[in-house]
Formats: sequence, C-alpha cells, structure tokens
Amino acid sequence: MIFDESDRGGANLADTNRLAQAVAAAQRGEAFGWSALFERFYPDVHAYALARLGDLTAAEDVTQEVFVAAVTSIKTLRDAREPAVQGWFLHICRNKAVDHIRKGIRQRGVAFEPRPLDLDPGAIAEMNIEAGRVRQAMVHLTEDQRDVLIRRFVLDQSLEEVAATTTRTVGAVKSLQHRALDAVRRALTPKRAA
Amino acid sequence: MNEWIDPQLSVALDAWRLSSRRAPRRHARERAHDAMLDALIVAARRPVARGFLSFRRRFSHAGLIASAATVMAAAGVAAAGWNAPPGSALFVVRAARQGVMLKLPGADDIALHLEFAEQSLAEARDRINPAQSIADAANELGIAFTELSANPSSPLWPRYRIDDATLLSEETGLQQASQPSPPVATSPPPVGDRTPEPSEPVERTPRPRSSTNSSDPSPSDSGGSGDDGGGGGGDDGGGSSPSSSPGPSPTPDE
Repeated sequence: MIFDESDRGGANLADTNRLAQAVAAAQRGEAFGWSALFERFYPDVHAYALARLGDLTAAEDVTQEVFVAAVTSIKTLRDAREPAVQGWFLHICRNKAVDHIRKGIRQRGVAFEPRPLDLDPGAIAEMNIEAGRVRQAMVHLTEDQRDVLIRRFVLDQSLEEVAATTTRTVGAVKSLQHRALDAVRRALTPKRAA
Repeated sequence: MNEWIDPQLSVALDAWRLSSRRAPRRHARERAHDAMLDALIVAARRPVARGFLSFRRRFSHAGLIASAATVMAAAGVAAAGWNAPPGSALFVVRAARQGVMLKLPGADDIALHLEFAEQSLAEARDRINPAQSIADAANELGIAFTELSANPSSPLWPRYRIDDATLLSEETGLQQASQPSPPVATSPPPVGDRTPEPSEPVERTPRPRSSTNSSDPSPSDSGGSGDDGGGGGGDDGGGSSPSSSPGPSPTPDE
C-alpha cells in the first residue's frame, strides 16, 4: 500500500484555521490538538525517517521519538501555517535521524513488511534494490544535501516550500539539489557499469 | 522539478521515493500515538515544578540584585558618614566607625581617643556645630585621661596636654561667642568695673573626667617633686574645672 496524498490522516486540518487551532490546542497541552497534528504529520515524518534511514523499524522508532520530543518543544513553534509546522516536525525528525545513526543503533532488518497490493513481487524487489543503491549513494552527501533530496523527491515539496522551511533562498536550494544529484549520479554510475 | 534528471537516476529516485512512502504499520503508529500522549501527561505535570524553579530563578536574580544594591547602598552610607560632622544624620556612622576602631584587636585606645578628640576640636575650630564638637572632644579627652592615668610614662602625655589646652581655648572662644555683646556705653564704666579679658580664665563646662582631677599621674607630677601632693588641681585658680587638672601640674623646675 503506497501512501496516497488523499489519504493524509489530517485531511481535516487542510484548512489553515483548523491547523492553527490544533497547534494552539497542542500548545495548551490539549490531547485533541496533538491527535490532530499526529494524524496530519505522522505520514510525512515517517516517510522522511524511512527515506533517511532505509529501515522500517528504525524509521518507526525515530518517528515516535519525534512526536514525543515535539510535546516538550511545541512552545517554540511560532508559526501555525502548514509549511512551518511541517518544517518544524521534519527538522526534529532530521535531528533524531542523525542521532539515531550516530548512536549506531543496529538496523533491525525489516525492510518491507506488508507488500503493496498494486505491485508485483518482482517490481517490489527491483524497487528495493534501486532504493538501497540511492541510500548508499547518499552516504557521500552532506546532511543538508540529504535533507533537500528527501524533501524534494520523497515529500514532493517544491523548491519554494523547501526554501521556506529551511530558511534558505530558492537559489541556494537549487544549488544544494544540483550538487546532491550530481554526487548521487557519480556514486551510482560505477555500480551500474559494474 | 525544474532540473533535468538522468533517466536512470530518475528511476532510482522514484524507487527510493516509493519505498520510503510506504504506509506506516498500524501498531507502530498506535504505539507512537500512545507515547506522545504519555509525554503530554508528563509535560502537564512538569509546569508546577518548572514554575517553582522559574520562580526560584527569578527570585534568585532579584535576590542578587537586592543584595548588590544593599551592599552598594551600605558602602555609600559608610563613605558619606565616615567623617560626618556632629549633628548630621550620618554621625551615627562615624560613631560606629570609631567604636569599631576601638574594638579592633591591637588598637591603641589612648591614641585613638586623642585622635577622635583632635578631629572634634578641628571641627569646633571650623565652627561645625561647635558646642557638640567641644562636648565630644571633652568626652574623648576625658576617656584618654582616664586611660593615661594608668600609664604615667606614656609618650602620649604631651599630646594630651596640647589637646587639652586646645580644648580650653575652644571652650573659651565658644563662651565668648555665646555671651551677648555688651551695650554701647555712653559714659565710661566706673572704676574697678571691667569686663574680663579674654585671657582670663573662664568658668568652663565640667567634663566627665572631673573625678580624676586629684590623681593626675602625669610624669611631671610623679617625677619626684612631690611637693604638690597630688593637689595640683586646686592651684590653678580653676580648681573646679577638671579639664585643667593635668595641664598645670608642676614641672620639676618648680
């Protein structure tokens, strides 16, 4: 089951006012506000963690850590608009993923659990191999370059959205993306040639 | 995406995207939700402690500021009152300072009393609350005399005598200044009726050390002449004035 844009749990938060209300409620410590934020942003945070770590269990652990950490730092969130809130969650996720890698937690190996029903096993296997190669190639990137690639190619954010949520200019994001793709291409080429 | 991407790289990125955007497992999602709500409960309890801590932090800052302000104010008062003239509001600081100086270990009490007396005499000379200054000087000299009596060979006796003489002159000056000026005489005064000369002895204010008059143990007294018999206080014409007792003690020449 591939994540569907229309399946975002917090679809009821699409309205800016509702998101602002949820953020305000969360800042007051009200559970319903947190539940709304969880439903809306859990898939994005999970996708970010999985794209970064490549391990489902580790991604789930990191995603859980992100929401636990968010509870204690929600007071620092000033902007209740969606890009800002999403960027805030993803920023926490990025830090948690880096911590996870630094701690050297062993990847516990569940690559993929439920198989998507709309893909055949051969396609899934091929996809996993390709995805694994990309993650391997990303080892050569800086943390900022990885961040930009995940936002652009996994979360489908526009250049402007990435620039807004990472406090960079659009040109800087473009430059980061260009260098990152170049590095990934170079890293993938010899493997393909081999 | 504005950038053209190599088709092979694009395939790899798509695979990466698809594998990353898998739906999270239900139990993991529920576990994360529960953990978040647990953290929310813990965080809800924390504000009490945090509020107390922040109060303590604020209070400690306020305490530091108040302490610093108190120290600065105390230093300012001490500096202002260090040599406050008699009669001023800060004279208590000076009195306290003098008391502390006298209580310090190793302090020479006699020298200090003489020093305080000299300071009061200087103020009297400068007409700074002269009555009070003279009274203070007399008090200090009285105490100095009492303590000097126990040490006939003290080198401070000459200094004491000078101060006592100064006190006498200041007292005289004060008395003269306080007397009303005589009316302008239209006719010469009768013979034998004259105003006292300034040099004449004037009845002086009794000083606390009056009880020690007859026991002046100054070296000049006890130098062996002995003819005074310790009753020198009565031969200066001012026998009732204790302040003059040590001054006129007979010298060996006499």
